[in-house]
Amino acid sequence: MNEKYIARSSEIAARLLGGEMMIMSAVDSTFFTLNEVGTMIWQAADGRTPLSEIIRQMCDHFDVDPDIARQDAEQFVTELSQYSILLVSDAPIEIPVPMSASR
Amino acid sequence: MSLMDQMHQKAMELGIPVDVHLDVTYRCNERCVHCYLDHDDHGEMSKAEIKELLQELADIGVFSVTFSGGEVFMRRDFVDLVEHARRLLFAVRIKTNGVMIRSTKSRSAFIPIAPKFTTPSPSCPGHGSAPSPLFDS
Repeated sequence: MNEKYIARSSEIAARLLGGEMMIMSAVDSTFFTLNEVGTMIWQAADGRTPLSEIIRQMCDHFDVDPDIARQDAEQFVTELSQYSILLVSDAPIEIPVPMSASR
Repeated sequence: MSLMDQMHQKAMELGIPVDVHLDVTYRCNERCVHCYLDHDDHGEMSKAEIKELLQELADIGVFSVTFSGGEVFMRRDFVDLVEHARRLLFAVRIKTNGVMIRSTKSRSAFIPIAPKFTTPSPSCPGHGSAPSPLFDS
């Protein structure tokens, strides 16, 4: 299976509020809140860390079955990418790093 | 309750001002009879001061900033301020009479960042959307 890389789009507004990430698409104002797990994936989406490594970190942190974690994470990534707030590629992604990307 | 309402409620519980209105100038190119400003020179924050303030607002969790005045485009550094706010991932709203956007210089600066001038609307069909939950959360 090909490795995937994920990166946060710059076309968003985002802020961490009480442990949950609030994200608004600048394209169509669609608004999302991410739970603790989704927030962890979002903060790890630096374009350089392979998704498989992010999932491994999730398993370590949340004590979840790797197959369930991978399935949920891939569905999560697919859905956010459909709104263009998360970029997905088979190769590392070069992105300008916003000052508050993980806040 | 919409996701936006939930965010505001949570922010209120945490004591975080999730939306901030920031008047960046008293100056204006118009003298509207209904305006509540006197247009006297009360001074205004420098670009560096506003950037520092924006950083502080981002650090405490403010989600959106509304730039207003006066007329915001009376500041020659206004586009810089908006770009800085966007780099800090604020949702940016702008209140302007729009008159100065007609100038070529303002237009060239304004158009590239215009798509980021997003204003959430209660009627926006996207509100309430959320990705599938991860695990059992």
